Amino acid sequence: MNTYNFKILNAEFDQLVGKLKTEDASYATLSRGIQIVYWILIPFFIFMTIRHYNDSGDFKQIIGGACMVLSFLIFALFFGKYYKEYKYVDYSLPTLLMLKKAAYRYKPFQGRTIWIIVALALMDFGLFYNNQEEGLVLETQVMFIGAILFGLIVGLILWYFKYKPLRDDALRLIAEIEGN
Amino acid sequence: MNKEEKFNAIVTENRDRIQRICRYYNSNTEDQKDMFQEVLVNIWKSLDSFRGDSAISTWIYRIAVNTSLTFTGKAYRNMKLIVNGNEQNLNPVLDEEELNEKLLQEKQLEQLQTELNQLSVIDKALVSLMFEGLTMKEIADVIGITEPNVKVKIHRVKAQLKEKLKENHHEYV
Repeated sequence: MNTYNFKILNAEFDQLVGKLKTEDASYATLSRGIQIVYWILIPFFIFMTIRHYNDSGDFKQIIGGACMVLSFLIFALFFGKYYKEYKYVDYSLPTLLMLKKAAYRYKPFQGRTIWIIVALALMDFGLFYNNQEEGLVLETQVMFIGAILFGLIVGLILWYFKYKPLRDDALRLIAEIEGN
Repeated sequence: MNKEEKFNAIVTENRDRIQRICRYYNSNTEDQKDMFQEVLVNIWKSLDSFRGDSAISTWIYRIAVNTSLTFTGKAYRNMKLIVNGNEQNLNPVLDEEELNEKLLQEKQLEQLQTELNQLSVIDKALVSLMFEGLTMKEIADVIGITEPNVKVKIHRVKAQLKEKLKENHHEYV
């Protein structure tokens, strides 16, 4: 039988380790970068809200600002967790558990999706209150809801072609393992 | 010990084990090499979660088996379970007497090979772990099912293989 002798040269092995370390570093940089953006946006919105409130004395500015800040906070808290979970699958779990986690991960609507809906709703409220004064409520709502729907449709198409087959395979293997 | 040192130590210590698993699933050198690399990548990715709760060998087998199920290099449906003609570790599948007899006849070994490849992906994983000499308890730890469940599945695989081999034995005679 023709088998690979596995005598990976030290240079080849070092190259692999080097790539893995680079990937770790780029993950950490990207993750930190996006978190920083959120943590900058949050105080920025707090500052702007207070400034607008001082200028206009309109309490709706406070409500709008608070909604925006809360939505950013939810995204900031969830982003790191989501990203790590998708980027680093733990292959050392028992097979059945790994497959169950994969099936859950590739589910289009999960229980925790509620937090994304809450964050988007808060953002919508924020836009609604912040744009009331300028009379741009309808335009903003159409744009925002349109963007969300567009994102949802694109996401579902991507899921159907890319992740649904993976989920179906995982579910089939789970059924096979659990079946007697 | 930093992550890189830990990784190097684990890979050095378990290289043979990983190689064997890769050989079970791939007949050509390129696929073996690709899967080997993918197992290494997944060891690296899972290293942070290693708490030492299970034996390192179990941990490695889990990664190897899970990689084989999700191996991106080729469709796992088409994966072949490769057994070597001179492997002494076929005895968990066959009785010793049967084993000696079968291994002497190339045709029947080929038949065994064919039948092994008719097994489902999970059954192939179970058989590969048996070839590795793992106990039922260890296989249960790797797959994540109960020990009695492993016994039932393996018993069924053995019965299925024996039945098929018996049918073909009659044909040869």
